[in-house]
Amino acid sequence: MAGETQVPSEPAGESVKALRCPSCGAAVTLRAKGQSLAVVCASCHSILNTQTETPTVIGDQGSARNVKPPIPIGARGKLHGETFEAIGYLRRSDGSGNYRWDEVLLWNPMRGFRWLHVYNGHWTLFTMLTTKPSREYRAASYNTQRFALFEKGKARVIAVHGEFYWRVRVGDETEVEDYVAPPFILSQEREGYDEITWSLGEYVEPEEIAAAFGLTTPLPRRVGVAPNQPNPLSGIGPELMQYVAIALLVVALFHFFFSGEDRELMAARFHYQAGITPATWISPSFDVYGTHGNVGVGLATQVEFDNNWAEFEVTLVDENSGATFAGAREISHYSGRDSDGRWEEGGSRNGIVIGGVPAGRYHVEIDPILGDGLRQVDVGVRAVRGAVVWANTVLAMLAILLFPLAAGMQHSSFESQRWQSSDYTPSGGKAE
Amino acid sequence: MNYQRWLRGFSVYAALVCGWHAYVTYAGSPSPFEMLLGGATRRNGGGGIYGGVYHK
Repeated sequence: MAGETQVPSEPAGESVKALRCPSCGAAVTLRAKGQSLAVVCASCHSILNTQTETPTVIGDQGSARNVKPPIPIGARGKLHGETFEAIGYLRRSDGSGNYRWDEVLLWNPMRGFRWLHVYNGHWTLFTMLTTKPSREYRAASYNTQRFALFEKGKARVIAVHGEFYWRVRVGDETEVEDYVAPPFILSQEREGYDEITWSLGEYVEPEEIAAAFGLTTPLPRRVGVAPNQPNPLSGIGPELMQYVAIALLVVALFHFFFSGEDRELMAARFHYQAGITPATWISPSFDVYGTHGNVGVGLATQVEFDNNWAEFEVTLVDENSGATFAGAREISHYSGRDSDGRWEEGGSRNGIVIGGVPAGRYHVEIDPILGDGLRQVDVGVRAVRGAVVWANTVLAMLAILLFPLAAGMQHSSFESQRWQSSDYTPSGGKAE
Repeated sequence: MNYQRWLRGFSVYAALVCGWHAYVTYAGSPSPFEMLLGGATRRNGGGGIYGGVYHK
């Protein structure tokens, strides 16, 4: 886009002028009288120069005449509290012709011109700047805000409708540089060496455009991430971390207030010798009290095994009902030496937590199974009511921390999608 | 704020996690890992998919 924003002195209503097309004779409406230098005849699509007393033909759009503007010429809408009328439309493409976008010229006699860009269903409202942003290496600054260079390229006009404040022609080409700081975008257009225009754009949600202009036909769906599209998770960090801290605190409180008291019910030791002592060791009886909670049975061998193992089938028996709670745990210990030095794994202890044990009189039965070469074992057994299960608390905390992790990944993924279409990186580097 | 929906989502998610944690802590349930390893389950009158998984 070229030219500068000017606020016309004419009040609304007096800025409309009717012309006659010198090519086909059709009536042509000029909506921004005194501002527009070119208008496209809606009938024969000739581009007319409106600066002369009698309009003269300065161009034609050729095959692009059937391109339809996303907002009809003459439509009015309220954006950011101001009413604008769509008076012009450009379809432009990059130098390669692969990327095409639409630009709608908006006009308000008191506010001047605005541009609405739409690309892949993403809308940006541009205002031309009268003060020049400062440029840095692959960045620009405006009003203390820093913008990162996003792309450089050419913009070529391939279709026009309506009227413009310069003598537009199909094929007009400018050099474009875009700098982003979502939801804002700074755009520089250079025509030749001396005509430079800066515009500041702000992302507009498509629903806002449809509502503003009363568009009934569905707008094109958004594809990908626009250079200046605000990241939906931008700025969530501090607030989300507050929520996370509260949730972690709740989990910690539940743990300290609801966890069992870990009270000892029974402690004993037994010696097992394969083929000599009975296959099952039976503990002394003990009472389990309370309406809910677990019973933990801890096992410890007197010495660590020398590269061997033993498995213990543990059965908690309700002496009144005969109901049993069963599970198995292994105690093993291995060690050795390799290229990294000495290694060791396992230990001499293990335990089992049996959930939902009602009150009653119980005993524990243990059936040891010994590894090859192991003939005997000395085992200490301890039963407790209300064994503290740290794993559930750790699991709950990890599950809560998973959410900010997912949010962080989503944020990064959005940003990487944004910068995929750029030749540069957010830090100002050149993308590979 | 565009992220309000995420915060609402987190509130629901965190409430579910806290609810689960409160339940298992109150009940003294073994951890899911322990259950998968062959945790103790009630064999008579209760049952459970891990019951009977004793031997290597």
